[in-house]
Amino acid sequence: MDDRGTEVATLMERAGAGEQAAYEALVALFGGLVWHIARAWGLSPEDAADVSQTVWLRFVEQMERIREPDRVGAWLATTTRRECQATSRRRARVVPVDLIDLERQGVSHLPGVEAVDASRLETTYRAEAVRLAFADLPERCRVLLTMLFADPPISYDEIAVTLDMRIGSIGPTRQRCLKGLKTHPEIARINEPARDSHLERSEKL
Amino acid sequence: MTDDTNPLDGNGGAGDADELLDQQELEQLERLAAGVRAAIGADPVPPEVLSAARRAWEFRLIDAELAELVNEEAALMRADHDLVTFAAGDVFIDMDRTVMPGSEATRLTGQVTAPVAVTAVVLQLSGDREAQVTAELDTSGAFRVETPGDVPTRLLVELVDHRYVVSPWLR
Repeated sequence: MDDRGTEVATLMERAGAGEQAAYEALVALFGGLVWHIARAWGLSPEDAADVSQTVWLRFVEQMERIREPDRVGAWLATTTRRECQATSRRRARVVPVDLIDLERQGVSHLPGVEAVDASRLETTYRAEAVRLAFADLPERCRVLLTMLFADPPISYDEIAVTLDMRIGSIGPTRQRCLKGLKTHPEIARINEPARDSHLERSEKL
Repeated sequence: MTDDTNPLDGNGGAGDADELLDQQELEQLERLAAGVRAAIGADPVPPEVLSAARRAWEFRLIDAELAELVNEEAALMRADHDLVTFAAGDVFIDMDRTVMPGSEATRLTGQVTAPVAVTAVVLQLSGDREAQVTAELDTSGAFRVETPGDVPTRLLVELVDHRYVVSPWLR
């Protein structure tokens, strides 16, 4: 068990013994993971908030039954995905992630366009392209990248358990998911020789 | 547990030129990774989501047995209606959930089967609507209660011998 696993296992033990502060420390450690997985699933902020609440209620309910306390991140990630599935079923359709409508907010329709900070606009445009492409990745890719980039980080061990894959596969799969991003039309468009004037100076992704 | 046929797993499959990525492509992928990290960072957890997570602690029950879901079926293939059974040892909760037309409210009707008399069935609501609603209960253990349907709820069953059984959170 690594240091983080030991820390988490200790918090679990203390929370199980009724120490609220230990539970709150676990929320601080993993609250972001639960939220980001729900968002990566494509849920709206409202639905992601509902999912998060249910996941933490279930965690409190099941805490003493979690068999591998050092892998509670994996337990939370799996429970979150299950609740996301249930929410999607109830909603019958998933609301796409919060997307900025570039056509409406874009350069050509903004009055006083010359005054817009070009580099900031390019940053926004690139970030939006990444967000659009990310939303189109297969669900497992979204969850994998979300777990990899979570802050605080999730251990490879927990990622492997959550996604039922070998630790040795995480690196290659990460690259494959990123390649999926790279070939997405939104990203490919940015990487093509710039045609739109506001993209001329933009850095390629 | 591993799954060799998983298309997302790194071994086998068509994409094994991965290792042959040139430096330029590698840098490109890392820039994308940084973009994804930034996108995740640009969507921080709302503070109220974290405070709701912390409040879940208030629903910790120490003396109640958690009933497990043992059966679930969608009655007559209708989305607004299902039958669920929970069990904790020799106590069974059979429940029929019906979504009320035109609202998110749900009616729960059911039956607690236990070796001793049931003294109360209470519906517990989480979240902002934190509250308890006492179900109508007859001497045979049949109960009936309505929930607003927009927050997780659970049933708390009290038996005459002061045993408590609680259902998992229902959504």
